Amino acid sequence: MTSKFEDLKPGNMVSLNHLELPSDSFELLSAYLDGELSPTQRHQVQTWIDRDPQMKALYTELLALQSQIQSLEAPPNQKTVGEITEQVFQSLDRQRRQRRLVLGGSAIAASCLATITSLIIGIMPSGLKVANSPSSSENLADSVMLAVALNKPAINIPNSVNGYNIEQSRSPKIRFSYSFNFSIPKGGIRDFAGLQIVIC
Amino acid sequence: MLRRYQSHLNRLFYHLAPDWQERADLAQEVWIRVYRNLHRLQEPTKFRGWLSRIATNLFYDELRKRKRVNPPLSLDAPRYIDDGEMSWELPDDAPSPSDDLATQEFYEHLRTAISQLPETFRTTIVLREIEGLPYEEIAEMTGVSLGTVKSRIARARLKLQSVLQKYLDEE
Repeated sequence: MTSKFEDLKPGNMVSLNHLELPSDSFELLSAYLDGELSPTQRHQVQTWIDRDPQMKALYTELLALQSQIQSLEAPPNQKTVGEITEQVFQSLDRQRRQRRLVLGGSAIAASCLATITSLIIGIMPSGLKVANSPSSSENLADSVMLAVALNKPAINIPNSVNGYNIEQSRSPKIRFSYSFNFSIPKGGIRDFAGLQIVIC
Repeated sequence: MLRRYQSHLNRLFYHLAPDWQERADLAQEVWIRVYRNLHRLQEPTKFRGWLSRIATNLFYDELRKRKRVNPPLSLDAPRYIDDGEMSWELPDDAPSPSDDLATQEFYEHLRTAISQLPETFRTTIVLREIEGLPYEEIAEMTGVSLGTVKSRIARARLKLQSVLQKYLDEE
């Protein structure tokens, strides 16, 4: 018998117990043994076994080998069940203790850190203390006031405002210019929301 | 639980890793993992399969560790084929003096033949025959395709069959 692992490459012939068969067929026979074939394949292998006595003999041998492997015992373990049980629980206890130690250590470290932090804050000069930021409700009130101020300017903006022109200058910057049409006597002064325009 | 399943674990590790000395330590580690993760087992009736999965995963972790630390070295210069390493020594052809001895001898040869299968083939056939796992689960565990599992099992059987032919004929 000269069976090698290469014998089962697709297309190769397998030579076993005076029987030569394609490697694919041997694979099918092996999978048939394990009940891992589709119904069609199973039917095909069943037909081979029924019709070919050599195939049937090979199948019987494979079946015997399977049963022998399945009933193969192992030599007793180096350790008894009692020893393994004891060591397992010892190890579990050790791990539990280590976990507690780590948790305890972390708690102590955290409390030390908290103490140090509070001490540092206690001795810190008042100028370095964190400033109290206004509450969000105050911020909201301020922004409402600002919106009211913008919606109702302190002075009336003249009706004849033409709007603004956007000119593309040579530079890539965009220049905004406003033009207003209103009359101010020479030497007069007009005040637009804090911006004074003096006509000279 | 440990008393009930330890022999199964011992048998599995023996056939998966026949040449490892620390099989008892591996079994111990499996039980530690079992106790730590028992709350995750949804269906207690599937305990055996769950245990086998933990054991096989641990075996693979250990195998990977060993391959990293000690790459396989053999004075017999094993041949490499496309689906794993092949290092093959046939068991001796000593005659069998009596039936009992023949049976013992057969099982001894069978154990030797399995232990001498290349690692990938041995693992696959052990997961199939000792563990009784379906091809799909073996493929998932070993990280290969279903076709490869099918081929490896057939190849392992072919090799065992050819090596043990004369004993099988006598049966």
